[in-house]
Amino acid sequence: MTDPVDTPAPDETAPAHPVTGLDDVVHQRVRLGILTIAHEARRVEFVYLRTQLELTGGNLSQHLGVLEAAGLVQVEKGYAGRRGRTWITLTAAGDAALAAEIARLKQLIARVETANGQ
Amino acid sequence: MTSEAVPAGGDPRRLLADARDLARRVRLAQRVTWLPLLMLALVTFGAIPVYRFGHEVLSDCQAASDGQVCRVWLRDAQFYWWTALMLAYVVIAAGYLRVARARGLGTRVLPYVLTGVAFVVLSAGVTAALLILGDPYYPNVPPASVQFLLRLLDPAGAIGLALLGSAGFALAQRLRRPR
Repeated sequence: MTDPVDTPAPDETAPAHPVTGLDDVVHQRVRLGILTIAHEARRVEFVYLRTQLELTGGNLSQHLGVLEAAGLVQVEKGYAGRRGRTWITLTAAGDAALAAEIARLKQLIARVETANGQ
Repeated sequence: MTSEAVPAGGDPRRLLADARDLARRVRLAQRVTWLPLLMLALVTFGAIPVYRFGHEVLSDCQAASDGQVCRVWLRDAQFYWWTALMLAYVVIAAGYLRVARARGLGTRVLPYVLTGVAFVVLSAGVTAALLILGDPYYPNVPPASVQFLLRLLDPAGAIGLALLGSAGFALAQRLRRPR
């Protein structure tokens, strides 16, 4: 039996690694792109997202479904003349999640740069 | 070599760069720079006949060494600028919304409209106060600092202030964006 003193206890005062706080829903290239565009535009149409993110309609729908289920975006369907249109709006939770993700990415970059500099 | 974990979503630098690029593309798609410039030109040209044929209100005329000194209120021009500025702001906001919507995007216009309306109201308030309370320096010329303030709140000065306010808002928006 090993002496428990030999095992280094995790330092509870040390700041958590930024990776531990990453949200799997947001930390994904396409979904981060959807949130960024919706944040910038306030409201964005499905077709604009599909074109900018170079996705198929089905693929984009899946990602939007994930974000909508997490309460990060709101999807509204309507009509412009006779054409059906789908508008995506960022929710307050989505705005906060995007800000948190950007902050974590910056922390990660800073950490890697600090480690490389040593 | 570092012991840093590689996140499943990809290289953080690449993710941030992609986000910045997408935000930049949205801003470009929302931009309708020609519309405010066109409105400014129309409003300025529209002021020419108003100044030429508009009515001036003269009051409180007093004899001076080389003629007369009167209070002058360019009433028609003043009303023209306030109305034209409000209309210009509404047209610009509606134009931005329309163009952005046609491109599949929304856009924030309310702060721009509120800034413009606030300056028109402020300018009207100062003019009304001067009319009601009277110019305390009359018939002498006010000091340079007072003249500067009055010029700033003139309709033409209010355009400059509104543009500065809009630039400040745009800067604040930019600081909120992913960088």
